[in-house]
Amino acid sequence: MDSGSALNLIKNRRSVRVFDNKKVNIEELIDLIEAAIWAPSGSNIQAWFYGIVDEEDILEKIKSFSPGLFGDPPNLIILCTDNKTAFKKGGKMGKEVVIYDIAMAAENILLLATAKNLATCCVKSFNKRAVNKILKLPEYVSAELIIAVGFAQRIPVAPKRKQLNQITFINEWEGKLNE
Amino acid sequence: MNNKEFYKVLAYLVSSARGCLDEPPVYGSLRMIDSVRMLAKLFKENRLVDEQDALLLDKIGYIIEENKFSCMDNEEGFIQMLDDVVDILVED
Repeated sequence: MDSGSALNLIKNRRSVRVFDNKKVNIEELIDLIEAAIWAPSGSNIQAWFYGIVDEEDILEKIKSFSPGLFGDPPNLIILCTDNKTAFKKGGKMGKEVVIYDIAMAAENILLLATAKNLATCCVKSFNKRAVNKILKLPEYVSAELIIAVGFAQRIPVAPKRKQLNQITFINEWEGKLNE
Repeated sequence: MNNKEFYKVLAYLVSSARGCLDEPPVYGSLRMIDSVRMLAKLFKENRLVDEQDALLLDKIGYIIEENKFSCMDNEEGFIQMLDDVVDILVED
């Protein structure tokens, strides 16, 4: 893939909030997790777990406790932190770094999904306590992000982005990027 | 009354009540107006309103569904939607 195609892929990713009810094949979902595990990880600790949810009963329960999960997605990927490993191997900083790791893994999932013409939406607005219980996670594992995965019923228009010269500085704060 | 759907609304409300303590302030309005949409749907599906009111609830639900995400990038549009729903209810 050339750099232009890579940038286009990044720009074409949208947060989809209206899904068809068609399920995504489990193989495709596993591919997405394969992408996740190749994300950078601070000190290569990889204190993460990934859950695939496609069973209707569990999906419905999670949706009920996830106000940020819109549009009835047919599948979910749950990105979880392994807090025991994060703290044991990463020290005090590990607890913070594992969140960055999960975020980078999430982006890998979102981009591969976009390349596969799958629709996604990253969701943080869910009741962690409830979701941890529904998924029967052990006490040291915590759901941190949910990615809704499916097929778009409606693809939203790209929201406005800040201009590069508004958010970039060169070498020092006053170093402006030429327009 | 469909108990499962009723409990879904309760779960949504309690999760929102907890979540709103930590979320962007505008999400409070989003969760409340989305609750209105859910309740309107529940009332209609369980025939708790007559035909005329069902049409009104449909209209409200449609306006909310079409505009609720504007809270993320078009606050004025979001406020307008809230005002529109108020106007519909007060005029009924």
